[in-house]
Amino acid sequence: MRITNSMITNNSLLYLNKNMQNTMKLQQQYSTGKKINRPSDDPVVLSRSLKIRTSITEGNQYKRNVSDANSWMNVTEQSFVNTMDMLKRMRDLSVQASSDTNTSDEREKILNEITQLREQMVQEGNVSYAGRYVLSGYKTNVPLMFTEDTKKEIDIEESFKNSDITKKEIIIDGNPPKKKEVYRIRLGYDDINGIKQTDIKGLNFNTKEMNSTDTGSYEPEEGTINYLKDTGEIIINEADVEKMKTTPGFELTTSYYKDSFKKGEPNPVHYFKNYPYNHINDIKIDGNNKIKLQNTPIKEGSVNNMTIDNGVVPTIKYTTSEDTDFVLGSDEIRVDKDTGILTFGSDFTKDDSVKMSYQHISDNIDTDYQIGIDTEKKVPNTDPLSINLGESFIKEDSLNIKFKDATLPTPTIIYKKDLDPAITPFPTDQIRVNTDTGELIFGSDFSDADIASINYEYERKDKNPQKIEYEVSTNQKITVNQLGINVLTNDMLRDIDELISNVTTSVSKIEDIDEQIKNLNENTDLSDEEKEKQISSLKQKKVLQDDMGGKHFSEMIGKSDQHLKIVSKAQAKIGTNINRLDLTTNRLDDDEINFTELLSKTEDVDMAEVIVKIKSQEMIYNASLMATSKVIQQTLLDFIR
Amino acid sequence: MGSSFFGFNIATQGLNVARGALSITNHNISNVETRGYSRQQAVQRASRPLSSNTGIGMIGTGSEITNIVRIREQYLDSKFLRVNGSAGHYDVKETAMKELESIFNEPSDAGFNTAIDDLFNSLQDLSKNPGDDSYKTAAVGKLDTFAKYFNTVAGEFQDFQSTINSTIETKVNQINNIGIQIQQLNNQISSLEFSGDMANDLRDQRDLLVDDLSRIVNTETKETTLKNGTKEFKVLINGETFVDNESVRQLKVVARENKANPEDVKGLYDIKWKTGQMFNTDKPGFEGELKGYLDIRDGNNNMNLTGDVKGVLPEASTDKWEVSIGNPSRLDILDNGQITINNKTYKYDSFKIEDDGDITFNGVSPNPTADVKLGDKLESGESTEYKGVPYYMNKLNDFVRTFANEFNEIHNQGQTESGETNKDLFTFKGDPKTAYNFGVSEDILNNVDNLATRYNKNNGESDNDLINDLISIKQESKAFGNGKPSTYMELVISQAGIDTKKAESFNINKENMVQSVQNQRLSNSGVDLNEEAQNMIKYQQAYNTAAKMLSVMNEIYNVTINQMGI
Repeated sequence: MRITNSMITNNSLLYLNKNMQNTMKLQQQYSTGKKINRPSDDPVVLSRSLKIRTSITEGNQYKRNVSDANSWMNVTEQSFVNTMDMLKRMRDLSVQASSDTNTSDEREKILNEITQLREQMVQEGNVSYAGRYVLSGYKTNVPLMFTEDTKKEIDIEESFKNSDITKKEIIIDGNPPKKKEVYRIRLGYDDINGIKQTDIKGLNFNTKEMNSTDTGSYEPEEGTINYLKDTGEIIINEADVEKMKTTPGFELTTSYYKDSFKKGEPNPVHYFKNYPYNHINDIKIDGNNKIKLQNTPIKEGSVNNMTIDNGVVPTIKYTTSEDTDFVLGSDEIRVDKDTGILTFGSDFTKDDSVKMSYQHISDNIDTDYQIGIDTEKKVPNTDPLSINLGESFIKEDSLNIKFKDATLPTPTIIYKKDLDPAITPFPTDQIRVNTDTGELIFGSDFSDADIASINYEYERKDKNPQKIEYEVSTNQKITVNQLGINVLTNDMLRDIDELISNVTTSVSKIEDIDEQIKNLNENTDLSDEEKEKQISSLKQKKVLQDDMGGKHFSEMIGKSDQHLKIVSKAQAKIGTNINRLDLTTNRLDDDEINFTELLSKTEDVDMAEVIVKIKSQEMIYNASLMATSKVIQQTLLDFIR
Repeated sequence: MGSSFFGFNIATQGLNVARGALSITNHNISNVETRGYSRQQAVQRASRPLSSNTGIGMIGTGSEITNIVRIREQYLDSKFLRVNGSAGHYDVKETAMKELESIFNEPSDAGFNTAIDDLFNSLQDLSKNPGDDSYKTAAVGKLDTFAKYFNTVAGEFQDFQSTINSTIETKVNQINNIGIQIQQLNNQISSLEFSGDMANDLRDQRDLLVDDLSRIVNTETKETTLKNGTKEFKVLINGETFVDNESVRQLKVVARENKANPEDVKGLYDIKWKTGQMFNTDKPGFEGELKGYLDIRDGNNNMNLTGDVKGVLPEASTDKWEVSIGNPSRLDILDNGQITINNKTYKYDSFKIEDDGDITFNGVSPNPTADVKLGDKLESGESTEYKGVPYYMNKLNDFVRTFANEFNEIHNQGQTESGETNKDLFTFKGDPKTAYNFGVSEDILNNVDNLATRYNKNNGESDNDLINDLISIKQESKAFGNGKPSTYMELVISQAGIDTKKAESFNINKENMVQSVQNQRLSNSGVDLNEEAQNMIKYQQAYNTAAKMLSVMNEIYNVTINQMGI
């Protein structure tokens, strides 16, 4: 093939260029240390390297999460351990104090220590980490128990069942004083300021509001319940208790008003369903004739004490924001309970100043119930006559059945749990609801009946009792918190508080009696016989009080044991979680090492290899330069003369 | 014996021939590095012999140069044109794809992977402190950064598309320029060759222009000789006549009225002949830099709208019509544009997406009802197989729409500090929703309290259920085909890397082929200095000898004239 000069110059330029390209590539690898600097260098390697990088960043984040979770859980665990120690000490003290050989002085000393322990419990309940209260569920900015005496107007609502009716022994003053057993329901607080409402399902009762110091406070008549405001007790007549115990589905719901709380008392925001009061002194109606209230949802009927400076007295109507059929009168106010927006009628104008108070519903940790509706079902006509609701954990007393056939008898609905023994015989007009599985068994009256609709309430499957979850690994979450209300229960606090107040009363009464005896002894007016009579009566009283004091302490022993069980269970649960975290930490550490190594293998060049290649490439380049220069120079002409 | 001075003539002729050949060699040597030069050779022939009247045979009359020819192989030229087109195509593609893949900015700390990791990590931190404003601000900041990555990438894609668009205009102008020059050369060549000479250097220039043209667009040439001896030279680009001897059809660029792809920037060019017909870029043999640029600018992976006609409704009294299609290949289309059914195009003013996924187009005349039957195929926009800018923009848009949807679905169920609900976290500042106008909602950017962190604002401050639900989007999401959102983007970026690598290796391949053909050409037509040096010596000797001959003849005439006779 004929070779020409231009061929040679072309080709040599090309070869030089190729060499330089290779050199450039190696140089890039050398200076960055990476095999790939753009996706086209190696798309597969790029994909892998991106994935590994993500794994590493995620791993680091998880490690941070684990560390935070660890701290949180350790703080919680420590608080529980301390609480258990305190309960144990209280138990020991109670054992000591319950012995008959104690004088009331000694009991007083023991009581002091118990009071100190109770105050310490407040510290443990309000324990915090990084400025948040760890036992307060989601409301980490609100301490579990009040840190000082607080004024707070609030309505508290409680529900009680048969199991909440307990017996208590009291001393009824009189001549002679005697012991009596009374039945009572204990409310969450003492020093209640007012009763709002009491509903008793299934029975009719009168309610009498009084204090424990009133006469007959512990002896209600049949058909009446005594509401003792100072001690926070509802006293029930013995015969009525029988009635209550045999009424299926018995529930007593009461709401009461309290306006101040003492230091150390549990905060109702955590423990109970509550409706705090809000007072607004001056808020102006905006341009759309509306006012927005901060706290929602608003309790029905709670907007009160409203004065508007144009003097008109408004009628207040409650509805929700989805109500589109509402017609607003000129002197009416529409309250949207869910959004907190008040719409004023045309009698009111922009910039009118409004003064009012209202209550909102404060969230609590009760089980959330969802409403279930089944329609168009049919009762089968062969045994067993049962249909399934499709949901579990049905709420008692929430089932409502409508049959298409109006001639069918009204059913009696019985609720039982899965493990309750079957009740025989099966009345024909009864429907039994298995609250655990959602199965309905019908009496034979309803065989083959067409059901129009069934309404019921069931526990939310995903009910989230304020669990704070952190992600500690891919798709793995861990619950870091425990709810203080489940561990430092209201029952426990009340038990301790009641013990303290009862024994204090007892001790002071004994001191009183001692004082009286002393006075009698020094009294010269009365006859010896009279003195003797009075002193012996007083001494009887003292014995009773002494007895009572000892009894309080001995009851406390059993109660402490119960509470100890609860706290210790909670502490064990945290212990398990902490152990689980340790395992996770180890795995995360291992992963980090593995992934970093893998990333380096994938992305990084072997420096030694690159340097060798560069050196050899440089040599090749030099060689081609020399070759090119030699070839291009000489031609025939150089050799002709 | 011929005339007395016969010998003189022959010698003189010899001198002339030698001198002519030398000057050709001279010419070759000075043009050794001229681009596109083909070496010239003298065709030397013995002149017509005379017959001697004595019957002893013909007497030679010397030599003459009958022609100066160009050494050029037509076959090699056409082979070169073919491979040069592909080489130009892939050369442009490699450079453009390298720029395209670098827009994604991976691997780097400012790329997608880092942005999404940071986003979810900040959400993790927020889940541990949902009530803390500084964590909320940090999370909102990362959300913003994430959105801005897409804004930047989308903006750069748009700029890139515009730049390529301008380059296409430049290329079309180049084509026109070359065409005009070729046409002028045609004129000159035909007038020069009219007198019978070969216009070698002009032809060289013309061939060089054709070479350059073939790089931009696939070119063919045809030279025909007419009956009367004139030659006609035709240049075809992409199979269509471009230069026809002394006339040239030029191209022009026309900005599109209707976008070919919803993702395009406005005003992309269509290439048309100045007479108005479309320049057909869909032909299978289309090559050249132009193809490279068009593929990158318009490439949508055949994802233009197609569908089957399900119903045609004319509105009798007006010119309005309605066409509905089933099985649409995509739902995000332009508000108004063109649809093509059975090779006829109709303009539509609006469209509606029915509940069952069908699309109904409405428009004003011309009315398609007469020509359209049920089951016909409808097409809108162009279908280009390559994965170019529109493809990647579409993927980005798809991603941000799905991502925003996933986040908003959860965020909508949450409540802000002031109790508002049903608020979006990600919003789009305009229609249609694209990666360019994707962003965090203004309300949230201005006030972090508008970021809903809880499903119910009455729950305590540490309720992190909503945030945990947002975090779970990272690991798996039904919307991303049951994979992770990051996998979706990884695939897109890998695709760009793969296509770039492909273009790179094709380019190397094609360049090698071009090199090899070029070498063959040079081997054939190139000037070799050694050869020319040899020729130089050869003709110098010939000249010297001829000159010597002249002196000898001179001596003879001297003797004859001066020294014979008295």
